[in-house]
Amino acid sequence: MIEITHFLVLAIILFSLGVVGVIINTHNLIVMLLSIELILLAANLLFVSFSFFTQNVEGQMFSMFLLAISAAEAAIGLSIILAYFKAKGTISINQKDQMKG
Amino acid sequence: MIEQIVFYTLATITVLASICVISLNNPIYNVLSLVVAFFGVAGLYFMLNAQFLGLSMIIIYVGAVSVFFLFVVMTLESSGYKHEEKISWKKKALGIFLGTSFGAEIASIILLKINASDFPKEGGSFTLKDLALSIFHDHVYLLELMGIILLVAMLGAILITANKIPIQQTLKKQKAHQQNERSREDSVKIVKVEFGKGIK
Amino acid sequence: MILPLIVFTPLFMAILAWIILPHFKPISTHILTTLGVGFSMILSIILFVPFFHFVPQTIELFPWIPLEGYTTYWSLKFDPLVGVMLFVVTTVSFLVHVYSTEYMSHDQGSSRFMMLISLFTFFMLFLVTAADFLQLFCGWEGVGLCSYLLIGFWFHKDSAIEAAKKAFIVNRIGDLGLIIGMAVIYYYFGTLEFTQIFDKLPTMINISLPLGFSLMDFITLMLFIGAMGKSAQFGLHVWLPDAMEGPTPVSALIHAATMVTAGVFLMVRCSPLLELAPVTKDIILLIGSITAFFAATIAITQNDIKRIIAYSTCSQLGYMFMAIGSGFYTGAMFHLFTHAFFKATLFLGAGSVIHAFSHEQNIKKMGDAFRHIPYTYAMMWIGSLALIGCPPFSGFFSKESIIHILSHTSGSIGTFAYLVSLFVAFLTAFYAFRLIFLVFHGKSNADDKVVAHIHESPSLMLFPVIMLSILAIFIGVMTYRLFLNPDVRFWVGSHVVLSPGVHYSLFDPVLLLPILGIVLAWLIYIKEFPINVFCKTHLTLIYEFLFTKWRIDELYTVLIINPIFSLANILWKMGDEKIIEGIGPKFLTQTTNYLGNKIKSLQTGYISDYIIVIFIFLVLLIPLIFFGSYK
Repeated sequence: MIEITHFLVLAIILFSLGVVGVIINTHNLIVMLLSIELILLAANLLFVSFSFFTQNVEGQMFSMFLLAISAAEAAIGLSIILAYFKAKGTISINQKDQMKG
Repeated sequence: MIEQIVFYTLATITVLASICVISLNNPIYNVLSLVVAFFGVAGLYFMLNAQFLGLSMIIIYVGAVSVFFLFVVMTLESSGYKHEEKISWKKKALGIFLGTSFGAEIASIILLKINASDFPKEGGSFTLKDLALSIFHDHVYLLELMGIILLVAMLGAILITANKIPIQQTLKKQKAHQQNERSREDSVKIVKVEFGKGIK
Repeated sequence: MILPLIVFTPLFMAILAWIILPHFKPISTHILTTLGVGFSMILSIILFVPFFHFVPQTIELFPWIPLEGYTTYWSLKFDPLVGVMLFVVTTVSFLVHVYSTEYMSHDQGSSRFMMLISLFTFFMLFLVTAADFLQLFCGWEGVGLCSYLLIGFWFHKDSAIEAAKKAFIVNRIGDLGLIIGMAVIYYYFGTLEFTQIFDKLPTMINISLPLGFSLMDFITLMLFIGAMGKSAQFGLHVWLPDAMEGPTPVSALIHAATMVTAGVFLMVRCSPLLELAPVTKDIILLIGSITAFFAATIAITQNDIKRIIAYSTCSQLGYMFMAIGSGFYTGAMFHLFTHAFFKATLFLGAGSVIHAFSHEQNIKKMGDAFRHIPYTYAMMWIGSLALIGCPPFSGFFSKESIIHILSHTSGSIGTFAYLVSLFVAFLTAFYAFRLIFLVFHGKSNADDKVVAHIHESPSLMLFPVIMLSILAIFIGVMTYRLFLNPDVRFWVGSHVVLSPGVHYSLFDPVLLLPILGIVLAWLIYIKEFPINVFCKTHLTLIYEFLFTKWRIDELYTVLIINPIFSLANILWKMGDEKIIEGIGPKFLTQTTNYLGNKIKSLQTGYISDYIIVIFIFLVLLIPLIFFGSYK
């Protein structure tokens, strides 16, 4: 029998992988965005698992909304990447002095 | 038994694909790996009695968002983007260390604090009707809100990208050489102010 | 009601002058302050003249420091002793005010000057009308402050500032003694009010302190140290000659007639205590005679006209303390009384001389002036004759009485004091007439320009000097019975310890000594017998010793000032700069700077670095939240 903890651990693994991706892929904004998608995916999986194991349909409902949110996030993120590329000629954020006070 | 085999297979596929997402060096492969990961998760959704969600996920992500990603990647490459930098091994090690310790912490919390026997033996079995009632009846305001968010996102994306003026001119940023080069005559004007009149 | 008016009118006028000072012409403040002090003078004469009728009284104005079991009041005390002082202070002050209006009229800060001497008058009156030690101390410090401000009146002159600081600091040393005395009195008596202290005296006689002091000896010795500072007795006298940097009216008012006699007043006020302290009385007698002697010896060698008179003041104060030391308090008070007038005459006369000689103070550069300034000449004669104790003049009565009492004082110190008083009488005559002969007779040593410019002072300056000289002539003969004859019962109610009456004789051989002095001065400076040249060439050591004022200043420099300077230097370099600043501000700023420079590199500007930091702390915080005590 597959228990809830299996799904939770899997979700956490996905989440951690997303975090690692955000940390190490600073040279490529697109991959960062993909990592964020992974994180959202992990959250999505959590919603659905809890929905199943607590016999509550609202988890699926939230999962649905989360899909919409991640789609919006992807759209905005990609357009920002495009604008950033137009302005800087690169999609790496390894540039000094941009946020230095 | 079959359930376990299916679960572990799908989990392995998902995790491997995710690793590919964050570690491969070509953006196109990254996006494709993400598609694979989504497939794996969609399979898990079927296991969790959420068939509609799994299918819509495949349609939305694999059909729309991933294509969108690929489209952007190709646009960038066609406009001269070259992948240059390597990730330093220090940063890699740090990231992996942080990620594993974070995952281990949360996983240990889950394993220690969440007891599977607290949950019902039987998993939930929902029809599509239940989901529809939940979305369109119980939480209809959330649905409206979601619509607004999507609308704003669409407008934002259009505003950010579809700008006629070259973006360099609209950016507000410091131009150090101009500041250094400007002369006193350009910046300061000496005015003789009559008492009680002020400057016109 | 009359007493508060006397005391507070000068204060009121000073404040008023201070307020209107920037808005009106100087003449307005001159008139205002002079009228105020004149009003006080009239009232105090009204109080002083009907000697036999007044009742000793104390007016309590309002409480000051309420303590458990004892509350000090701001109060005004009146008794014969206060009456004498009020008369002296207000009279001299008024005449000096009048004199100053003319003398200072060309000075930029004349309004400030008038305001300050008015304020000084208030503090002096406040001092003498004090009913307890605390209020007396307030007035004591107040006159010290005004003295400081007035000595440094010409604050653009470095020497004036130095002199002012010197006066202030030396006075503080004396004040320390006074404070200790007050503290001991409060500790043992539980009160600071004079009458209560005198009432409790019989129970306190036999108390002895550690180290073998008797209580009375210790208290009075401390009070005497305070009086030494104020009255420029030997050891703490160094400020008085330098104080002559101030304007001449200040020297006349503060450093001859009133403030310097505050010490004498304090001693006389405490005479019931002093009577129980034989050791202190001996010390006072000794210090008084030393002061009289050393000041007189210095005076014969000095050339600055004001310094000569300053040393003369010092010497006369020595006489007063000799009288106190021999238990002759009424005599000390009487000498204070007469001295105030004739010394003010001399000072104001000297001011006129300086004025006539275009601000020249060196008597070696004067001479042959008596035809040009006859009034001043006459006034200086009167003042000098009164000073040396010539019979009809006021100084005769007071000084003769003191010498007479000293001749009856027993003990070796008493004999020493008697001999000193005789010798000083001779020296006094010598230096007084040396001054007169050098300034007014002989041949003129001044520049032609100066000589052509010699002129008599205006009448506004002459009037006060004439008034003072009249007082210097007659006040002694008018009042000596009052002061010195116990049968007149003048001192009733003032707690002053009386002594037997004195009988004067015109054929006292003592009177020969001043005549001898005059003759010597006449021989040297008119007939030009080269005795002084002989002394200068053959007794160089003694002459130099006297001319450099017994080298007291140099001694203090070596003994006190230099060690303090080097100690301060060490504390500055080592204590402050190295230790306090090194550990404190410098260390803190440097450490902050250093750490800031180190931590600065954490703000890289990379977003990814910030993300890493966020996750590091997230990783650290999660166990804390879930497994720590923050469940």
